[in-house]
Amino acid sequence: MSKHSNILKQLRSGDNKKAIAVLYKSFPMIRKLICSNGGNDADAQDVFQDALLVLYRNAQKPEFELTCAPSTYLYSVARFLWKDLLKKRNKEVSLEYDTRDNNVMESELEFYQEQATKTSQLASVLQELGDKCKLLLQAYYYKKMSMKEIAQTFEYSSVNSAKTQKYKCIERAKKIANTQFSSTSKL
Amino acid sequence: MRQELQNIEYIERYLENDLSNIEKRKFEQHMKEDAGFKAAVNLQRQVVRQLKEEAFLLDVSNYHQDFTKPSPKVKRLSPWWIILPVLTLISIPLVWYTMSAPKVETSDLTTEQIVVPPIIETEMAAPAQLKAFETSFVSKKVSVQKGAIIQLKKSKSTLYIPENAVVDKDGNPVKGAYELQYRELRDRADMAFSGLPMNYKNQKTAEGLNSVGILEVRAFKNGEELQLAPGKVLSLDYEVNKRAKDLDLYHLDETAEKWETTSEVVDLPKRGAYTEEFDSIAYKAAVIAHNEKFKNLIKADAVQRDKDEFKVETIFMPKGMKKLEKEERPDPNKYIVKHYKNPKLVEDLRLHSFGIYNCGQKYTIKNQIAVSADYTDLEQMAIDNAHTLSIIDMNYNAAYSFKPEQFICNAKANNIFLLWSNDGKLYSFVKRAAIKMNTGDYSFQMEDLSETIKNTSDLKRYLKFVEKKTKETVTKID
Repeated sequence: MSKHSNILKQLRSGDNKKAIAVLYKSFPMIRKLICSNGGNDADAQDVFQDALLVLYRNAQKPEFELTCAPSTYLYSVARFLWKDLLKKRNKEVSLEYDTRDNNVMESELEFYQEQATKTSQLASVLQELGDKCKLLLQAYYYKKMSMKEIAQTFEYSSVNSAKTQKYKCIERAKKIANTQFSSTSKL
Repeated sequence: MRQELQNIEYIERYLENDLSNIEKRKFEQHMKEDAGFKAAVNLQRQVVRQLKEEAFLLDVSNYHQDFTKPSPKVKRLSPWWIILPVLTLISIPLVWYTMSAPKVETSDLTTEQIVVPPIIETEMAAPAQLKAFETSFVSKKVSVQKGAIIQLKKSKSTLYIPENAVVDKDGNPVKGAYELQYRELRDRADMAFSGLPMNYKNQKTAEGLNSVGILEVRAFKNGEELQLAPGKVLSLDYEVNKRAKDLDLYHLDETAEKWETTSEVVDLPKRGAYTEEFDSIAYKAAVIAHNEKFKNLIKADAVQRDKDEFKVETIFMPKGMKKLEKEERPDPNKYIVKHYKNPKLVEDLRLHSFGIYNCGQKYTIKNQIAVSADYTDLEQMAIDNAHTLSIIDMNYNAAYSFKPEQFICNAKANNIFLLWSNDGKLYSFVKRAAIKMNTGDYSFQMEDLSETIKNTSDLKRYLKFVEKKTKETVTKID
């Protein structure tokens, strides 16, 4: 097991807030990177949050391991993302060579960008899903609450009933997604 | 659990790596062979991922705000620290006034009238008398801009209509006001002649819905039916007839004449569930009253002390008085008011279109038979102008309409057949469970009840009566 696995453990077990608090210690470093390379505070926030998302997404894969400190990882990802964004903005890329870059595979990040388009489509699906369903599903998938805790928190009459509701909510989300995707593909 | 939900559970177990090796292999084989299944798995994976990431980003941006917030420094008080609270205090009554002023149209603001447009039209116009049995619609004027909150009449249900909720049949926005019509079918007598179908077309086993309440809601402008605008939903807090397990909300697909599940969450609050609220007004009043009383006691004591010569025991509070103070101080715990939840109220069902919604349990029609029928009255005179047949299985709160010539029912159930003729006569036939019917042709000798049953409440009484006592005459035509 990697010595940096603590943060991964937190990101996998729903202890996300703690993990975020630790990871945010790298923010000033990344803000400095962005701001001294043609970006502003808002850019720094966007890029850093995207880098956090890359880490979170990877952490969800059981086989993923951090081979460097989380701060180094975030720095490398942020650097890559910022370079990419500058390219898109048609600006000359003059980021100096940094050895910390090597730790991130570029293919991983391409996958990330590919996902970004799908994500925006699904975001509107979840908006239509309704708060009740969304909170219930997030309690289970994101916060990793047990069905028993969920039944209590959301005041369902039994664990079984909460489970059924959960599946119904997924069913509904899938239905909405299907209708939305089919209507957008027609356009 | 329904088959669809079982599938979702199965996919979830795969995604969470919860299947045994054999199951996993089977699952992956299934994915290879069935592209639709594979798509369903991928979609579910994406939905779950999106849910997680959205929650993660929300946590991140909340943390970002905390992180970038400057740490509080000691500052000189600016005059705004005084002006702002004062302004806030002034604005509270104002805000309160505007909040309590009606933003949306409530029942007392809307005009209300009873209209009777039958919705599912049978080919022939229904006889006038039949209308007495059709549950009438309640009509309300709703402003497009404002939306409305409507308290339904027959149940303690509430329908929330958002602003700009409707478009016309071509999808163009509607201006001004429109007419919202709704009706609630709570009892099988209400349902008997509302033209509700049973699920049996294009499927092997017919299905019915044991209903705990049906709501039909529609919108019109100048006689033209309106649709729900894209992305808009109606929200319904629905009071069911009775608590039951495994309730689902179904929507009637009127072209296919089929009840489709909506995957809405129908969950009743736990029995005795409540929310708590601290009654601060009553508590403050009690504290003031207590202080007042206590002040008087001290005064009395002080007067007493002045008169008395100095004695050691008067320096200390007399024992009894201390105790009294402790006992009488209002206990804030006693001012927590419990608001008990209505155990039959399902909150926030979301309706994605206008139409007919049925809350209930799906059941399959056991011992299903298809019957071709003709009808005579008790004097053996043929009834050749039959209009609608409604079948009620006494075990369920449901009534299904058929064309009289052919229908589907449970061969072994206590069934009541209600028949309307074109000349407005109501006939009834009761089949006891003991009599077993088979698929085939039957002739039913019907009792003419037109004189005794004239409206829905008569019908309700009649159905109750039949539930106790059943009689039948049936002849099989060979």
